Amino acid sequence: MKKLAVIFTVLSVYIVAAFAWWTYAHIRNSKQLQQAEIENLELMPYRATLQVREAVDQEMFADTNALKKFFEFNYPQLDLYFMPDEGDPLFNYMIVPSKNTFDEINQRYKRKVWMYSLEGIVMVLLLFWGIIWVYHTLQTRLKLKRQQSNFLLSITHELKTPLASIKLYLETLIKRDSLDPQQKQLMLKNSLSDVTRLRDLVDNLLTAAQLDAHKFNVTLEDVNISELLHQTIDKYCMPRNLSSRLETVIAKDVKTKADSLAMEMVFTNLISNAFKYSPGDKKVKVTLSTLEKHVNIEFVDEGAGISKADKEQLFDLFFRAGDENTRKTKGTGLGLYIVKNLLNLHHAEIIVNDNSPSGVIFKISLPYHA
Amino acid sequence: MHRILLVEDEEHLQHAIKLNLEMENYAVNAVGDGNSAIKTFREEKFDLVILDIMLPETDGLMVCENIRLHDANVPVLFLSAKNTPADRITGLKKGGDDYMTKPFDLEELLLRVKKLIEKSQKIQLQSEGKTSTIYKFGENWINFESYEAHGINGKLDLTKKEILLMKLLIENKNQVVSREHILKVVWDYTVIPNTRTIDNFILALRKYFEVDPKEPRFIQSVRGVGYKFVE
Repeated sequence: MKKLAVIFTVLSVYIVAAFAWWTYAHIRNSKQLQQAEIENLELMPYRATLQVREAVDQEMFADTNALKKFFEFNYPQLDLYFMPDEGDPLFNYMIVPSKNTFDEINQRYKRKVWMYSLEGIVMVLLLFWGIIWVYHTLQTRLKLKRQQSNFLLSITHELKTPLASIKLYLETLIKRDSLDPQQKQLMLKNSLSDVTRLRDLVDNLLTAAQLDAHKFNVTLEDVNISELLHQTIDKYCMPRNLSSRLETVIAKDVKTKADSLAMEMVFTNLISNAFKYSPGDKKVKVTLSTLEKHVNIEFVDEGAGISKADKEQLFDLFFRAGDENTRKTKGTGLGLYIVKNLLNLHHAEIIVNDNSPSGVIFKISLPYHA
Repeated sequence: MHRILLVEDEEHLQHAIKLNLEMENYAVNAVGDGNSAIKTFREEKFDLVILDIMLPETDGLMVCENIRLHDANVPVLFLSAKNTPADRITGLKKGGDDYMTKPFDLEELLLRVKKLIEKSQKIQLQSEGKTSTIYKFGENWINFESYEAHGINGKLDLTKKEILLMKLLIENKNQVVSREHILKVVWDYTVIPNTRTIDNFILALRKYFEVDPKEPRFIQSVRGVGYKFVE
């Protein structure tokens, strides 16, 4: 990423310099052209005087009008002034560059300066936009590639570990006749919990795939969201002995239109995250309240919190903060992607804020249909 | 009774492996993260280490490197979900003696554990009485067991950290070793010094072994990354 930023910075500086030089070169050429035109204009009266005198000598003009017509036709850039006080006007006149012509040359130069400057600026802006666009696209691709590689590592771990554990428990049960009933019971209980872990993982994978392909449909119906939240929390906390760490403030009998299965998935993901990222002695708080036309549900933990940069990517597919090889918490980076997308299907919002003094608050705002 | 250090962060897997090894009459000390593994290995003597790779705090590969700096002989068996040839090669390169992927067969695991311990015992018996490990480079030499060395100014005694640092650089000969890597492996779980401390150690080592410490021949700096041992 750093290398990419350096390449694009160098490229940007080069392009700005190239266009600045291009603009400067064109403006300088215009200036030279303007100078040449002025010099040419200043020489024209001499040439014109000689040619007019030749024509007068050959008695081509009967009067000054004829001379003036001839002059104006042939020398539109010059002005002719007769000086009758000094004798025959056909022989006493003055030819000078026209003021309008000078103005025209100067105007033309100014217009060109403006044109090149604007063209330069527009081109630089367009190129900058292009560079930034390419940079962002590349950055997104690299990020996605890294996330996919992290996902592959985590999914490998998450799929194989419970499988390895179940296999080992079963092989142990077959091999060891001397195991006492409590040991056997514990092995079967642990194996069942690994099966549940695998089932949850497969469910998450399928849901994420369906959401990604826009093939996940929700059926909105009247749901007692207070009851659903209570049930989901109990279902998660009781088998894991987490109820003592849980604090709930849930308004009673709040009903709204929702897909109960989808909302259960949302709540399970958020409650499991809250516990997963909280140290063992810290509390997790869940609240539900109604405010105007919204049902607000908050999952509050007292864990290490999430950095600002990670918050921006938190709901991206496969995103997991940190290095997969040394991660304390296991997961796949699918959970919050699923949460976000399921809530989108409910026209609901989710935001993440810092908790004080530590931890995070996930706040869901669900449309309230009383 | 042979002692095994089991490093596995998954509770159920750790329980099942420990139980089976204990039923085969091994004494098992099980830990769940990389730092605890390093600490436990330092405090106790083991005949085998079974090591997961994806571990909290410090990954299994770094744990293995750290173990190798202190004990070149103890067999290390990697037990990991990572199953590509590249993962296996990395594991073996970092000092592992064997590599098994999850899910594995119980019988195979028990057999490999038995074989690794037997083989290591044999090697240990054969090597007993042999001379210590000496590494020579240029006019210098280092004895990694007695901490003695011979530098440009004659004989000298190296400190433990100096020996570990030289060992890490020599084991990764011609490869860059980053400052972070050195900190993790040489200073491991103990109080982490800042990277400037490493620079001071390097300066001292260059004074011992380089004819011109300002133009080092063996211990070279790689700007912005770390150091490499070149020979």
